[in-house]
Amino acid sequence: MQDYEIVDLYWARSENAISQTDNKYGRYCRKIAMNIVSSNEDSEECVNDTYMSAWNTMPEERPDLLAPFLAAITRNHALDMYRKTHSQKRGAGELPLALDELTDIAGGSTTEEMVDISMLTAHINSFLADLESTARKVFVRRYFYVDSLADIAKAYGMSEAGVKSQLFRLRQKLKEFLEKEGYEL
Amino acid sequence: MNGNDIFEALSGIDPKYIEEAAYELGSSDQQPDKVVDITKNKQKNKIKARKFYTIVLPSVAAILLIVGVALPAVLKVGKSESATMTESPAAGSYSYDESAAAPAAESSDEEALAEAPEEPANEAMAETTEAPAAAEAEETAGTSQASENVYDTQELKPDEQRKAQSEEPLPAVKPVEEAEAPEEIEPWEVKEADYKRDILVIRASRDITENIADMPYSLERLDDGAENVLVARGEKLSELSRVDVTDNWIVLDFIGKGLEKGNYRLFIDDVSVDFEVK
Repeated sequence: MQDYEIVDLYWARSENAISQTDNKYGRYCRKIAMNIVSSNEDSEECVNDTYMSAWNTMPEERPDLLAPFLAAITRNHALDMYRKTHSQKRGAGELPLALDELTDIAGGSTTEEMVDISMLTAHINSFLADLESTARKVFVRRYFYVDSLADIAKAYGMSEAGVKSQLFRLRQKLKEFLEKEGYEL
Repeated sequence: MNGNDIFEALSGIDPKYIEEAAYELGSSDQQPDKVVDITKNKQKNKIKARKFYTIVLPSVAAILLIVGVALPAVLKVGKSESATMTESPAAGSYSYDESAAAPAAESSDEEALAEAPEEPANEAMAETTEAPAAAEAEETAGTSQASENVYDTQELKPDEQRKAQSEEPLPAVKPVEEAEAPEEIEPWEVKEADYKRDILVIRASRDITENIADMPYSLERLDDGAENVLVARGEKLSELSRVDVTDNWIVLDFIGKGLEKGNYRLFIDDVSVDFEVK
């Protein structure tokens, strides 16, 4: 089924919308959730929450591309779940490692200064636009999808060490970019 | 701002980037309808590249050849031609014109003498006397000019020779300078070094242009109060680890090397790098 047809089902408040979404993007959303929460049970819960959020936001929302729309919702739910279950301790899985890597860019300390997340997103989009395609994909796979280094290396025919090096250079580049945009890092 | 803020901000990145990376992520039953192919102009790009290499580059090369080789040659030819023209035509034209003019004047004068009364004849005589005198004056002026012009052209030749002589040494100078350049590379030193997650990152004092991977190395473990323990040594750093160099950043990957916790000193040729494995 085409994306626009599935969206039409949501707009028509048809129950078939959820089943069609699960049929087409269920595995995709579970993979994203699993990367973050590292638990089958929790990832299933995240995916169900994703469908609920999609049902609640459509109509009003009418995404052109359903995959990234669902991916962003799943990611947020998975992050919330992770923070709920791992508030006290460092958990397993790729998320702590990915977060740790991002501290290379912006330290690890919480500050009282409020960061305009939407502005930061715009800057990150500008940064990504300037990257070469493979570098951008590696970055998004690691820090949006929280994919493991091994999976990224396999997907793009690179060695794990090569992925590590590339991610390091990309983090440095992002740091320099954000500093130029006026962020204090 | 911290890493969490960046991670959160990534949730809102442009969907086309999410889609671009997702295409390989899903299984076959999850092929999105609309593949946002960021490289959808790949075919067009290939055609453009072909056109670039087969049309644009040769055209640019031809233009550069014309400008760099043909144009100076044409200009030089133009200069030499103008020099020869100043020499002969001036002398030749004056003498020719004068010789041509004089007989014509004389013949007309003779006719005038035959037909005209005394005064016109006198005038004609005056004219004829004046004409040769003027012609003589012009001739001397012309020949002096011609001689000056000859002098000028003669002077040009030494200049040209001097120019040619002055130009000759230049090509000989350049290779010597180029040969000397590699010897003047300033040594680099370590600004900072950090070991984390099996990666040693070194920030150098300048951009690294030399091939670090082929340089000899030695790795020592530093123990307090005791002699340093040699861990590894070799002729090429690439034997020890994967080496990535970008500008003034050197990244060495020690994954799988099993470095124990402690302090280490790595020598890359003569440069020492101290780091700690935590």
